[in-house]
Amino acid sequence: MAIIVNVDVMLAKRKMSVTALAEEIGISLTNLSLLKTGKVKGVRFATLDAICRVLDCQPGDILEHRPGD
Amino acid sequence: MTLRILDRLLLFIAALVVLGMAMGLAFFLVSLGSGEPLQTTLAMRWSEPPLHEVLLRGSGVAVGTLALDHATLNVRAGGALYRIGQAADIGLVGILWLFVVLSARRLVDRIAKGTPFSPQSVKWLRVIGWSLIALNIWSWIRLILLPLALLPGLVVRDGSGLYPAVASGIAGPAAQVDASLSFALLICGLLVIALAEAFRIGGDLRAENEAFV
Repeated sequence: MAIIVNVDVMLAKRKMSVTALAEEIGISLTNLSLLKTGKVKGVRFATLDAICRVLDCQPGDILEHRPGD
Repeated sequence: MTLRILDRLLLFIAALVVLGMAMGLAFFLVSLGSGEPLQTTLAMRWSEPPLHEVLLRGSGVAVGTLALDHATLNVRAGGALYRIGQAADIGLVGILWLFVVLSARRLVDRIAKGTPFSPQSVKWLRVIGWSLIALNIWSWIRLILLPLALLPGLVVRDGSGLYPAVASGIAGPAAQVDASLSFALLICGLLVIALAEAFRIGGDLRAENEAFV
């Protein structure tokens, strides 16, 4: 998939754990792990909004397009 | 609560089907032991029925006729082949109805668990649909084949002929098997199969939805 999810990078920058983020945005740890590893078909705007709000970042900081991947 | 009642009702119906099938096969075995076949009841239609004039009560003017064109044939007859047909009829119809009722019960259970749009639901709906269609087709086959095996060996004392549903061009007084073919189960079966497709699409949509976080 050419879309790369960089949630783990942002988590490291904010020194936050996956569990804490999952609790803050209100989705299950399983679903957040699936998102982190790029094993989902898509991400809802509501989820993206919550992640950006908690990590204080832009969608472009979380999602990256790498052609050819 | 409603689903629980429905589940209990389906269980009761399944028990009735098993009981009916067991009784039918028990009667068949008893008749096999005694050498006397099971009773066959066939709806017949007279080709040249007696007609009675129907009058208006006040004026006595004739307004129509009453045709005594329907009859019921009750006989204990038939050879070995016919008896095999009777046993196959009891077994096949019982098993098909059991398929329908038990699959419906599983479906109700799945709905009660909150996951109606699963591949299993689709499979059970298809089983129900095809079983209903098979029941309808078997009723047609029975209506055509069983009289063909039974009626050639029978004659009415007054000389009237007894003919199967497929006979044509009958001369003289005769009773023919009333071939009123029902389409109700066939249509129900087709609707259930259409419903199965709707459930399949619903399952795909659910899977698609679950792939989003």
